[in-house]
Amino acid sequence: MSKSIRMDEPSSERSPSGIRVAWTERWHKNIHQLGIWAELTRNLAVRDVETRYKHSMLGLYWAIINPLVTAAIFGFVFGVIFHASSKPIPYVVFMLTGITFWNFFANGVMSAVGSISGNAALLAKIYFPRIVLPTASVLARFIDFMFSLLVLIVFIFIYHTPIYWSSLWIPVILVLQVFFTLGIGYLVAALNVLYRDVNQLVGLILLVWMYFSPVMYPVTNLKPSLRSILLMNPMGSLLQMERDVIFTGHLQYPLFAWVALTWTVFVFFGGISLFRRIEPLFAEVM
Amino acid sequence: MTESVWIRPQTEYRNEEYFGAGMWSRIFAYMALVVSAQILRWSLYVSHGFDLGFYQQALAAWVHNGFRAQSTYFHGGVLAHNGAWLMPVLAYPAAVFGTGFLFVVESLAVALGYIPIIKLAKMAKLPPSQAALLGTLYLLNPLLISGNLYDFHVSVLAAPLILWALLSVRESRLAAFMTALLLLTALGDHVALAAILLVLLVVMMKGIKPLALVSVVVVGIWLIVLQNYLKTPVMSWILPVTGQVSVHTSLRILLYGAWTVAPFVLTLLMFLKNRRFYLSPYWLLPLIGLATHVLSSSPAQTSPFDQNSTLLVPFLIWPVIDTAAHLGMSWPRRDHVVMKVALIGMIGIMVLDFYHSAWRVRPQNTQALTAALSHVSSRQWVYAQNNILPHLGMSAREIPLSRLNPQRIPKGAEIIWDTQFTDKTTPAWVYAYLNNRLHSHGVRIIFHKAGVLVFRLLSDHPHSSNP
Repeated sequence: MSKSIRMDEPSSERSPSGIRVAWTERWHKNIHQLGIWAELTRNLAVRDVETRYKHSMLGLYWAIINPLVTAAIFGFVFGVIFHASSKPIPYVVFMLTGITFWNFFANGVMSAVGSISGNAALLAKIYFPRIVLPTASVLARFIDFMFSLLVLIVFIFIYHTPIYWSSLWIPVILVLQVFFTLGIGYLVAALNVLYRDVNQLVGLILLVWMYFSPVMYPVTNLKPSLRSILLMNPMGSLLQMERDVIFTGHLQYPLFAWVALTWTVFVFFGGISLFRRIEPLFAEVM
Repeated sequence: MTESVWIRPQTEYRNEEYFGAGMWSRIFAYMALVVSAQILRWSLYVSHGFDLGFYQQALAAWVHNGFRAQSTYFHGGVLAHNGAWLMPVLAYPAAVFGTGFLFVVESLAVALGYIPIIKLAKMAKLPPSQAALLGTLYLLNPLLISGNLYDFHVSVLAAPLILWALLSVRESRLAAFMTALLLLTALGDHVALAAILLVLLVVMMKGIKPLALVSVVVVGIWLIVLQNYLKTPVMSWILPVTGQVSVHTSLRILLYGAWTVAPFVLTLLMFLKNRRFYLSPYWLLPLIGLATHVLSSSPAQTSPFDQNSTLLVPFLIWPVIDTAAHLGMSWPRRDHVVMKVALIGMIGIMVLDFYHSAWRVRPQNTQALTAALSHVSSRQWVYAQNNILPHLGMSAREIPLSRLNPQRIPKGAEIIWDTQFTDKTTPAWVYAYLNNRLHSHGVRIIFHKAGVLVFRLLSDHPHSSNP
């Protein structure tokens, strides 16, 4: 029997054709494996959405009602009582935009927290990469988000708010936001297995984080130093970019887009790294 | 002595432990932190700005005029300034993506130097944790941080390139080494010393073999081209012009200096722990480099905060790896914790330094500065102070105030002047001249708020022409 080729062996021990064969085989195997895990992630995400709304009377309408009620409350408090202004964009539209994009992040993270600890039975039965669970949780919230986005579009038309062709950049910015949410999701899902306080703590952190992000107020009128600090927050710059491409047609603070990009890449890889480090402990702890 | 107390010695480690998501997360953490700090400094109007402004202006000029592009910072063409042929490569993406692109390129390139260090450490059979420690020693080195953080500099890219070149020499990959060497020549005359040290390193590692001969020829030709055809002052970067040795020190310099010698301290620790002595011949190279810098009369070279010192970092790290390969790098877990605390302490010092050098000294009239920028015409030549220059964006028509020549002020030029800020590189007579012009006829004030002025020079000086 011929000796199998291992890619971690020194290169001098392999023939050039051997390297090519091994790489091709490895890539085919990896892509095939990735396809299986992607299918599993999709199924788990769909199952998550179905079970969430299956036995409720209003079903998927909850995905629309939630942002509407939140926007109504905040709109009343900030728009009517505190006279917050977001001219030239109507405040309701301004805030609903912030709430819609923020809710995707916050709900995604909150779903991911319990994704491992809440699926102990499933983990005990079959083997699959555990990282699939928080990924599916975040993607399930993305499905909810798509419904909220429809509500936002309706409101934009109701209030005759002009939008720009640059709105077509939204999917690109959303990709960044999905990766950022996934990174934070991996982090909290893994930590929550070790320390169950994380679940409570994350809710609190998200609340504080929301007020430090331009969800309900525009940053344009703030002092430049304060504005810079708020936009250093990757979620702050992502929200600002999302609003800018829809309502102003250009990025008002383009340099901060790089902050969002670099933090997203770091948080995503950092989340995976921490998840992998804690993963071997899951079976022991649970 | 139980095994649990000691870090595992000489065992087989998986590739994943060296190069997995952990390594990438450290690389991207560095990139995210440094890019954020760069952008925060920029947005607070405290970036030094002169070099960043130079690159912005030169790159924008290149996009507009190609080989005929002239620098408004120095006499002559853009390439003739320091012979960095990377400029045309950077120019087009920088023109599209803006200043942030330059910050990200610089930080990412520096951070990617972490990979060859891990590879070299793995080849030296060091465990992953110690490889990561050496990588952190590289990333947190103040020479590198200061060069990377305070501005944009092409020469900073030399540090990771030298490490990649070193790795390819170690792996005897001629094509990879030649690519790295050619890319090094793209960084201009500032890296002439680094290129010579690299050739010496190759000779020391491989002897007089084809690899060494080829590198000697390539570097030789490059230096001749720089000196004779591009007329760049290449020798000033290689041979020190011995001046008066300054004893001026500050707490900041001492703290950073201590960290610069950290590789020496780490090596000393290895001697003590192993009770063996091994003097790596590769110490010769950083000593040559350090001597050149210490003895130089150029303030740019003697300053521990200057970008031109960054090229020394790889030569400081390599002897440590070589020593570790010979002696081993095992030490009690307690010492490992001490080192981690030292690294975290270093980050603390850098945060403190950032607070002192950026946040605390930020101008209080940033709102007025931002408003003033919107009043500047994009079709006129604009003079500005160093901290404002980078905010003019990728513009070919920006000129530093320090380069103002009353005999050659272009017609209709605009000046943006923060009267509450004194630019160190701008001579006092320039400010006196501006004051005089403001009180004379032929000036139209476009904006005036919180000490920030934007004015246009209407009447020409008799000898005025293009700058």
